[in-house]
Order: sequence, then C-alpha cells, then structure tokens
Amino acid sequence: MTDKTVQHALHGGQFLTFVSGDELFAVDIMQVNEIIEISALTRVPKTPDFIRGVINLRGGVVPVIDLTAKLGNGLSDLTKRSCVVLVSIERNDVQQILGLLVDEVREIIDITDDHVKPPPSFGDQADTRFIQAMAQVDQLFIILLDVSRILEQHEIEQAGAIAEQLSDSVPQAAHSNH
Amino acid sequence: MFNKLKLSMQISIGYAAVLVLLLIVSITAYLGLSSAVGGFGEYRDLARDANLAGRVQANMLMVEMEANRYLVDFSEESLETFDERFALLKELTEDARREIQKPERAAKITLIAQEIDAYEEAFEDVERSVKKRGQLLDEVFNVQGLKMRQLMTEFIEQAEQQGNTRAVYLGGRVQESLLLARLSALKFINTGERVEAERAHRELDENVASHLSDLERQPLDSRQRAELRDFRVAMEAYAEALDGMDLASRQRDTALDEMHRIGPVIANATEEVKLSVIADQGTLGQRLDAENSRTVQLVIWISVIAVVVGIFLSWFLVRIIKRPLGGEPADMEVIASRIAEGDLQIEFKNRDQATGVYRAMIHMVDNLTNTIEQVRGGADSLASASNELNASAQSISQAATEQAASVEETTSSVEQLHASVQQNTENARVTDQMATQASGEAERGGEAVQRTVVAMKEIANKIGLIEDIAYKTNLLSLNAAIEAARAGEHGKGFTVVAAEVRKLAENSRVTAQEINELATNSVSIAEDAGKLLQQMVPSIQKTADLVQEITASSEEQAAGIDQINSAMSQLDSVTQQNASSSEELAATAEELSSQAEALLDAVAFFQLDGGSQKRSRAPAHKPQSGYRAQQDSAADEDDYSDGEFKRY
Repeated sequence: MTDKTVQHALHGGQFLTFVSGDELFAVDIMQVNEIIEISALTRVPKTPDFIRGVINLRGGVVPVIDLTAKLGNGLSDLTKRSCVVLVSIERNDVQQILGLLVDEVREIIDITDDHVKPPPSFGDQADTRFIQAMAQVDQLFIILLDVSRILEQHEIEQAGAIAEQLSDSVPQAAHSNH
Repeated sequence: MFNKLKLSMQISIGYAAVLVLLLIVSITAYLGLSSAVGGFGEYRDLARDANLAGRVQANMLMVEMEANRYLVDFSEESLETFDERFALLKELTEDARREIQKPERAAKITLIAQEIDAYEEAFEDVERSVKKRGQLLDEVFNVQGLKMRQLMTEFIEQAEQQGNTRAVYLGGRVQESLLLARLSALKFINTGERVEAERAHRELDENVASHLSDLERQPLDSRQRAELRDFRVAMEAYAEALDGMDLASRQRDTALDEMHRIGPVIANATEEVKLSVIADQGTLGQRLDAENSRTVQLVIWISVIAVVVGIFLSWFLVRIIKRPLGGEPADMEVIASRIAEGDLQIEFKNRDQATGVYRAMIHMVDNLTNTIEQVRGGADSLASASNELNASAQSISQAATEQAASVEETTSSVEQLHASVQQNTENARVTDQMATQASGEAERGGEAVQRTVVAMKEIANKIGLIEDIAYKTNLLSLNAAIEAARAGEHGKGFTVVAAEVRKLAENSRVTAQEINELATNSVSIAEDAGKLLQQMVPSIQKTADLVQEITASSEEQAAGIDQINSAMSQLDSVTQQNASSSEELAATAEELSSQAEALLDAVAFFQLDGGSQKRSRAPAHKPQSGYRAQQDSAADEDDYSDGEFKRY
C-alpha cells in the first residue's frame, strides 16, 4: 500500500491548496469530498487535543481533526475563513469521512508531473510519512499531504470509533437540532 | 519734704502750728477751770449739807427746850410751840434725807429720823400720862378727898351732938390720918416721889382703915353708918386713883427717860454728820488747791513752749520765704526793671551763694546775653543767605520756564500715543469677534468629521459583508471544481466555469479588500482631522481670550495715558506755578534780607558786656566785663587788659 501511495503520489493532477498555521498545503482533489464552512462543532470529552470534535454532516457524524494541532503547531483559532475540508480515507477497507480543520482554503491548481518531487529525507527521527510529495509552484514549494497518513492507524480507529459511537445517537440529536 | 511744698502751703502750715499751740493752751486752761468749777460745786454741796445738819441740831435743841417747858408748865401754848418746832424739825430732817447722799452720812440721817420718830412717840406718851394725871387729880383726888373730909366732918359733928365721944375721937383720928394721906398724895403729885405715895397708902390702909373699923364697931345710927359706908367707898376710890397716879407717873418717867436718851443721840449723830462733812470739805479743799495750782503751772509752761515754738516758726518761715527769693524784693525789682530796659550789664553780688529768684535772674541775664549774641550772628548769616537765596530763586525761575516748554512737547507726544493705543484697542476687539466665530465653526467642523467617521465605519462593515460573500462564492466554486474533477472527463467544461466563478469571486474579494483598506484609511484620516479640529477649538478660544486681554490691556493703557495726560497738564501748571513761585521766592529773599537788618536793629536794644558786637550800628559798645568773660576760656582773658575786667 505504501508503494501504491508513493506511485500515486509522484504524478501531478488537480490539487486543492489551503493554509494551516501560516503554511500553505495542498491535497489531491480526488481525495477531497467537499468543503464546508465551519458550523456547530461538538467537542467530545476525553479525546486528544487534535480532535476538535464532531460535526453533523447531513445526519452523519464526522470527526474533525485540527490539522495545525496535529502537525505540532498548536490549536488553530476559529475565524470567519476557517473551513472544514472533508476527505475520504480507507479504514479497514471502508471509506471513512474525516474533516480537516484548516485556517483558509485558497484555490484548485493544476500541477504537472515534472513539478512533483519526492519528499525530502530528514533522517529517521523526523516523521515525514504524511508528506506525499513536494510540488514546485511559482518558485514556491507546497507540501502535498497524504491524508491517509496524517493520522496513525490507531488514531483513525479511535476517530472512527467515536464517529460510530456517536452516529447511533446522532440521528436523534440531528433531529433534535432541527 | 517741707521745702518742696508751695510757699502759701508752707506759711499756712507754720500758722497752723502756732494755732495748734494756742488751741492746746486754751484747752488746758479750759480743762483746769472746768475741774475747778466742778470742785467748787462739790464744795458748795458739802457746805449746804453742813448747814442742814446744823439746823437739824439747832431745831432739836429747841424742841428739847420746848418739851422741858411743857413739862414745867403743862400749858397748851407750850404744846403748840413744841408741835411747830417739831414739824420744822421733821421737815428739815426730810430735807437732810433728800440732800445728804453720802452713805455713812445718809445712815446717820436715817438714824436721826428714826430717833426723832421715837422722840415724838415718847413725847406723846408723856403728854398722855400728864393728861391722865391731871384727870385723876381733878376728878378723883380733889372730889373724893373733899367728900371724905366732909363726910367725916359731918360724922364727927353728929357724933358730938349724940355725945358719943369715942366716935368723935375716932372720927378725929380718921380725919387726921385722912388729911395726912391727902398731904402725902399731894406731895407725891407735885414732886413725884414714890415715898410719899407709899406713905399716903400706908396712912389710908393702916390708920384710916383701922380707925374706921374701930368706928364702925361703935354703936351708931343708920345715918352714921351710911356716911361711914360712903366714906369707905370714897376711900377705896381714892386709893385706886392713887395707884393710877403712880402708874401714870411711872409711864411719864419712862417716856422722859426715853426722851432724855434720844436727845444726846440725835445731837451726837448730827455732830458726827457735821464733822464728816467738815472732814470731806478739808480733803476736797486741799485737792482743789493742788489741782488749781497744777493747772496754772501747766498753762504757764505750755504758753512758754508756744511762744518759743512760734518764734522758731517765724524765723523758719522767714528763712523759707527768703530762700526761693534769694534777696530783698526791692533789689529784685531794680534788677528786673534794668533787664526790661535792655541793660544786661548788671553786677551781681554773691554769685556763688545766690539762691532762688536771684539766682534765676543771674541765669536769665547770662542766657539772655548769650542768646542775643547768637541772634546777632544768626541775623548776619541770615542776611547773606537771603542774598544767595535770591540768586538761586531767579535761576529756578528760568529753569521752570524751560521746563514748561518741554512739558508741552511731551503732552502732544502723549496724545499721539493715546490715539494709536485706541486704534489697537479697536483692532483687538474685531480680532476677538473673529476668533470667537472661528472657534464655533471649528467645533461644528469637528462634529461633521465625527459623522463622516461613523459613516466610513459603516461602509467598512458593509464591505466586510461583500468580502464574506466573495469568500463563500469562492467556496462554492471550489466545491464545484471538486465535483467537476470527480466527474472526470464529463466535468471538464464545468471545471472551467468553476474556475471563472472562482476568479470573479477572487476579484470581488480583492476589490472589497481594497475598498475596505481605503475606507479604513479614510476613517483614520477623518479621525485625525476631527482631532485636529478638536485641538483647534481650545487654541482658538485661547486666542480669543488673549485678544480680550489685549483689549483690556489696551483700554488700561488708554486710561493710563489719560492719567499721564492730566498729570502732564498738572505738571504744566505746576511748572508755571514754580516759575511764579520762584519769582516770589526772590522777592521774599529780599524781604528776608531787610528783615534780618531789622532784627539786628531790634536786638541792638540790649546792651551787652563784651566785644563780640560786630556791627558798628549796635547802639552800645560796652567793654567786655562780667561773668561772660569769666565763663569763657582763660585764653580769652589773656586777650584783654585787666583794666577792662570787672571781677565779681
């Protein structure tokens, strides 16, 4: 799977760029389901800081990951421009919807294959698995995120568990919200 | 202290002292005379007492005499005389009791009064017994005696006729004894000797009774018997009367004894009273004599002392009066009249011992001489000084005229200044109005800017909304692009549309942002403008205030210049006055000069010793002499020949 990802990663295509913690990131548009404005965010107790909570997406419970916190730059502030980028990842061969809380979405850019570079190696200590590749756009390097690797396996499990746990009760809650 | 009093007070005190001495003499004499008069009164009282006692004594003697006379003749006349005398005696005794108060003498007088009462009682007893005796004599003795004799004579005659010799004999014996008894009784009555009374009793009781008893035993007829019975009854009455007579005699004798006892007692008592009074008189006389002589001596001594003190006081007063005067009043008068005539060349005697007015006159002459010399010197200086003054006054006059011209120039300058200051004032007032108006306008401008700022802020808000809309449009375009990408080849065209939409949204956002920035900048600029306007308002107001102050100052300046103006005109008039005054001063100086001359002439009236008279016009050029030369330094003395001095 790792090989597949790497092969997949090294070709260009359309990418959604966004800002998180003053850094510009990009993610493959095929991995993006939807962009929504931030709405009622329900904080779940006894969860790690980077899980900001869950949102109600057309009756389904979607866990929201604070990308800034996850990448080690502290909790992000919620502004008018904060958005949730919904991405699909596989968990145990099941499509799992995950929300990424970003500071601002920018645009959809086309990146050709020859502008895509493999991620740099920083040695064994640095965890660079979530970097799919580096793309050069207008003399700048944008980090192309591999959304399926942003979370560890067990974190994905945990997030999925929370979503499942809550989705049993959410319909009633969603109804009650209406 | 006495010396400090006024002269009149000193003289008054001296005379008062003499008067006090006179008063002391008078009081002493008066007291001595009073005591002598008092003693004389006492002495006269004593003499009256003695006189009274003597009269009491004399009357007592008279009373005794009268009593004796009554005892001799028993006449009513004697009794009356006695009563008169006795009444007088009692009266005198009462007088004595009133008058004589000294206790021992009063006791004697009381004794005398008591004894006199006793004497009266005794005399009354005597009188009663005498009357009783007379009564017995008249009623019993003469009657019964005669009756017995007649009865017995009848009896004898009858017996003889009857021839009863025995009875005749016995009758004769009875008659004999009866007569003897009657004789003895008469003797007793006349002499008062009791022997005779007893003999009469014996004759009656023994002889008559025995013979009568014998007679009764004779044979007798009834008539004779009756006669004998009558005889016996008469005889018993006679005997009884004899006893009564005896009793009366004894009572009379007792009373007489009492009288005889009382007479000497009274005499002694009166004598003692008299002696006591005489003794008192002796003592009183001696005392009065001593007192009188002492009074005389005292008066003499005090008089002598008064005379001596008076002489001393007169000497002392003369001394006291002469000391402040210092000499004879006539000499004083001469000296004073000479000074009055202006003659100060007076020779004084005893300069060092001089006192009082004399000394003051010496001082006066000395000081007058001194003063007049100074006045002469002063008048000379005054004359020259007035000349200088005259010159100065003329120069002052000239200077004052010049000053007046300068003052006029100054006055015109000041008036110009006044005009310019008033212009200033007016300008400042206009500026003030303008500043006030500008201040109000600036304030209104500030408010307008505030409103602008508010409007700008609203615009910025609205633009923020547009920006949000642009952002949301962007999101929508992104989602559309994502959907198109997912659609693959079919979505290619849609992707282009989404990209266009996204570009439009982006443009909108950028434009909105620019507008927002512009608005924000405008807001801050407007705010700055507001702030500047706000700052301008107080500055303008401050300017207005300052301009008002300038106005006030200008007005004050105008007032000050007015004052300067009036002061200048005053100065002008003063200067002109100065000019005329200095001219007057010059005239006055000349007047002064002539007055100094006149003063010198006037002072020349005094004739002085000494050669310090500098002016030849001085009327008297006396040689230097008198005290003044002596008072001056010895060096001066050397300058003059001895012949010019008169030493005093």
